[in-house]
Amino acid sequence: MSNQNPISLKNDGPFVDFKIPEEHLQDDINVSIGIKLLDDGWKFDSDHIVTIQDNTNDLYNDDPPPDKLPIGTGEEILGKKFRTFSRIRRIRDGAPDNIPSRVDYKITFFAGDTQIDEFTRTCDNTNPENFITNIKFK
Amino acid sequence: MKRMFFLIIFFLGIKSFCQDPKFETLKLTSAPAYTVLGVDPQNIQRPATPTDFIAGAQSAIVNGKLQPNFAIEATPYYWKHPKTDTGKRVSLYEFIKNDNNVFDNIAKTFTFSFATSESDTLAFGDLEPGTGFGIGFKCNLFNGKVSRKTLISSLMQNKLIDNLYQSIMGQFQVGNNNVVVKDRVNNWKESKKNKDPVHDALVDYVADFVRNDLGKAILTENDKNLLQQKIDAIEDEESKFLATLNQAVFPLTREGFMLELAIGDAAIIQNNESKNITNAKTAIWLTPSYRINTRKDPTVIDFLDFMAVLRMTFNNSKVDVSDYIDIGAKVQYTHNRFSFSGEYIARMLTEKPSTVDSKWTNRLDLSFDFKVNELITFKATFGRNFDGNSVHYSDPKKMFAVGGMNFGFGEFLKKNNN
Repeated sequence: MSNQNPISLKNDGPFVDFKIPEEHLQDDINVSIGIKLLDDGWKFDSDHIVTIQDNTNDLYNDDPPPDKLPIGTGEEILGKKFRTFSRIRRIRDGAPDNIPSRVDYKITFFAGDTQIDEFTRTCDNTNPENFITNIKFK
Repeated sequence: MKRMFFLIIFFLGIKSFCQDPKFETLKLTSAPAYTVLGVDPQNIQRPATPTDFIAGAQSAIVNGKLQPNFAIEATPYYWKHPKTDTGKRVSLYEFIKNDNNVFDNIAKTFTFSFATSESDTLAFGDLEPGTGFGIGFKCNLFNGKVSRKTLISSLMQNKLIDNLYQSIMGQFQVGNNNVVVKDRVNNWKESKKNKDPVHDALVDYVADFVRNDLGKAILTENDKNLLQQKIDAIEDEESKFLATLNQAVFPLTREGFMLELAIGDAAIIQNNESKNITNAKTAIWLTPSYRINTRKDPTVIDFLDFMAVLRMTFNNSKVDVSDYIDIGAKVQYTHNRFSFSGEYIARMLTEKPSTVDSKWTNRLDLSFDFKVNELITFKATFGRNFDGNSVHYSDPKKMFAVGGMNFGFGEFLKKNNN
């Protein structure tokens, strides 16, 4: 779990190497995204798009965050670029002031059911905010 | 005089802590299973998945016996994506779609509740003591209309345009260069359609808009900046839409006609013997209401609610010789932290016991709520109450006045333990 944090805010950042442990190269690699609002009185609407090199369709494009979305076996995705795009819109739900809640964003990678790495990023009250993960699997 | 008033309120507050008064409010704010059982549970399990629900239900039974003081409530519609949603996600599309579809409203709002308690003789008359359990459900048949539909629809359109641009940008970023616009847009369109004609028409519109806006059959690596500019423009616009929407304290509100249906049933396991289960009472509520959003300024919460209730309660003859028919009305005005309401309910007993003067009784009250802050709410209620049981029938002209402070320490501790 020594990979560098690949999550950037607003626009795409550089692609960061992500080492898949050798013992998991035969396993299915899955990805989950978690959204947590840090301040009370807000809800959120979201969009999540998951893309991988050599596939001209989105792996996932929906409102709920993906939960253990399969992206291929370790061997299949080795050397490929991988991107997740999440746009989080905060919608007021009783908050006394119009200062959007901060968001804690978490992306987790699993080999089968075993967690192999996890990254988090928190944003300020910019609304909406994009969380973009750019990874190259190694 | 002022000081006297505050002293009275203070002592009424103390009184309310000691007596824990239970009001039968017109609007069914609690789950029907709890109301029919006569309990107000503080610790309610709200499972997020079917598995959690089964596990929760199983925890109510220990060594083959149903345990008292258990409460569970579930809205299955929201079990779809339980692990990643944390209960704060709202879908703008789900919120604005099918305003008048009764079946959709029922599916979205169907809430099941279950509770257990030690039975008490006031609520359950001559039944032998034991463990009581209540089962209920409630749902909205009509759910009103979205208050800011035009603005939210514009936001939806903007969200879809941005989604398509970002989908194309994703292809560039991972190195799938030379994007054939027609193919990409058509693939996106098929993935977004969901057989809702209004939504699908919007998807078609967005697809055509983006195809024309890009103005090229094939996008190459050199077009990445052009795409980014279009994304920046649409995202700036979306940011402005959201800022406008969020000027309102509750932008996702509904108004107009709403109709809630609820059914609850309570049974008693007398002497805690499983062979001795007796149905105690069944109640059916129909609660129509009409909400007017009176605000001119979106930063102000201003609602006027008119409600009515029709409730039938069928009692086991050992609980009460009579069944009840309740008919009532309520008017409530909410302005930011203040809320005033007036409520009248007439109750008719289907069988008049010889010990009571009339088969009619009623309840009338005026309530005032003030939310001091996120944790503390002051509540005062004045009026006259009927007793919920004709066996213990009391004179409806007997006045009551109860006030108190509700300290939300439970929520505070829950939040800090998470």
